[in-house]
Amino acid sequence: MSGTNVWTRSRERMRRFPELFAQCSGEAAAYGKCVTATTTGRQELRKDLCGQEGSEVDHSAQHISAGHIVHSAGHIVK
Amino acid sequence: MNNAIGSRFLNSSCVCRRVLKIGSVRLLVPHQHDAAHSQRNVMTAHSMFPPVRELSPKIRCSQWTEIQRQLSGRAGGTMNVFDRTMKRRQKKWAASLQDGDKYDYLRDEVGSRVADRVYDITRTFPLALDIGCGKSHIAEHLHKEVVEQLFLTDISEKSLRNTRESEIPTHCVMADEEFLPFKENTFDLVVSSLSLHWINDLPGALRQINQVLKPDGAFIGAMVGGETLYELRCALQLAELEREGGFSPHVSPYTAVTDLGNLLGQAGFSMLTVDIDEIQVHYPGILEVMSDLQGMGESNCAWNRKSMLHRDTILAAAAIYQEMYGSENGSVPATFEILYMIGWKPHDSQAKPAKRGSANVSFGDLSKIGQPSTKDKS
Repeated sequence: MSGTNVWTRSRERMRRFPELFAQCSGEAAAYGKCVTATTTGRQELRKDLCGQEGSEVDHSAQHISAGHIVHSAGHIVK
Repeated sequence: MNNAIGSRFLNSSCVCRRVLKIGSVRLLVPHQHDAAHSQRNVMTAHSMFPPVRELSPKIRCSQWTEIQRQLSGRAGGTMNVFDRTMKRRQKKWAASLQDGDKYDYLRDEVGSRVADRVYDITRTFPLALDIGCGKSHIAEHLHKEVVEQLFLTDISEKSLRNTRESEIPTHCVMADEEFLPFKENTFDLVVSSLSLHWINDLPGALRQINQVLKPDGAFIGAMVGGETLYELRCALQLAELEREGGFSPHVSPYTAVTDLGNLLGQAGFSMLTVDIDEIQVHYPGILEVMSDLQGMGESNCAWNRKSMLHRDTILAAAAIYQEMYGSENGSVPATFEILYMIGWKPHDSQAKPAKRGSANVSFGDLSKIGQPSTKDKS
């Protein structure tokens, strides 16, 4: 393995997922409840049935990961 | 003992691949001739099989996978679910990890339980075989009084080079579980721990195990089956359904415990014992589950696997896993259902069902069992 390639970079990104997920736990819980409600209820699970909660999770994750990048870049500059 | 094939595998896997490539090109040529070279003069019939060099650049990567998939399934319509080449590469990657030992907890646990079952049989086995041994998790629990000599086989050479210490003299042979390079009636004991669930043709493999066993030899196996990783499967399925509108299988198909008895019976084993053990491991989240499975060398290698997971699907699956199966402290469980099986190769010395009409007590005497006989009272 010489240097960084797409696999090492994507693995690096994946390693940050648990902390991203931990910080978005509120939105994630809402999404989870929405989906599990469909398994017990009569509604079939369709695409984007919980689209609103899902996009909230995504926005929150992107927001936090962007914050991470800015933060680490700040360290390097200093 | 035929070790020649085994050592050939060890030295050059590229030989097999080269042979496969030449063979596949020869097979595919008639079709390609019709499609790609239709402009050619039909009279040049002698050029039906152009040299290998001409055609190999024309076979693109996607076609090569398709060729591999068709060739790896044997004639007779056996199942071809798993890409064995990919599995070998995954195991090689897992074995070359620096901290690979931290993923061994499941294999160690199951290995020790299989060794327990070996001890339950009060016999000494002069020659034993461990199929799909990985880093040899069973041998470290066995003593020389129980097993005198051990052969370790695995499809990955790297894990054979990193086997655990054991007091039993061992020989390592790199071999595929579906093509055992041993003569018939060789081994007194065959063990296998957590590797049978990646075999394409399980009935065939069990038949081969039966063949290499001596009569009155035992096969003790442990394989992952039934409802293993159902939490992961359900979470990914629901997440993909909600986020993408459809889902593809991410967890490989497992053998149900009810089928195992039939499989072993068809392979020729008698006096079967099958039991289930459920091991639940708790992880912080879905990503740790998946990375641990990857570190164990248990990544998905089915032919129909999707090559990537979208980021929103992963986040959605993490949320669903946490909500459906999470516990109060935030950890999520992953269930491993291990099926243990013991089968014997038939032999005359084994107890057989009694013949019809050979009874010498009557069912009517059953009611008299509880009462002490009057003769003994004096």
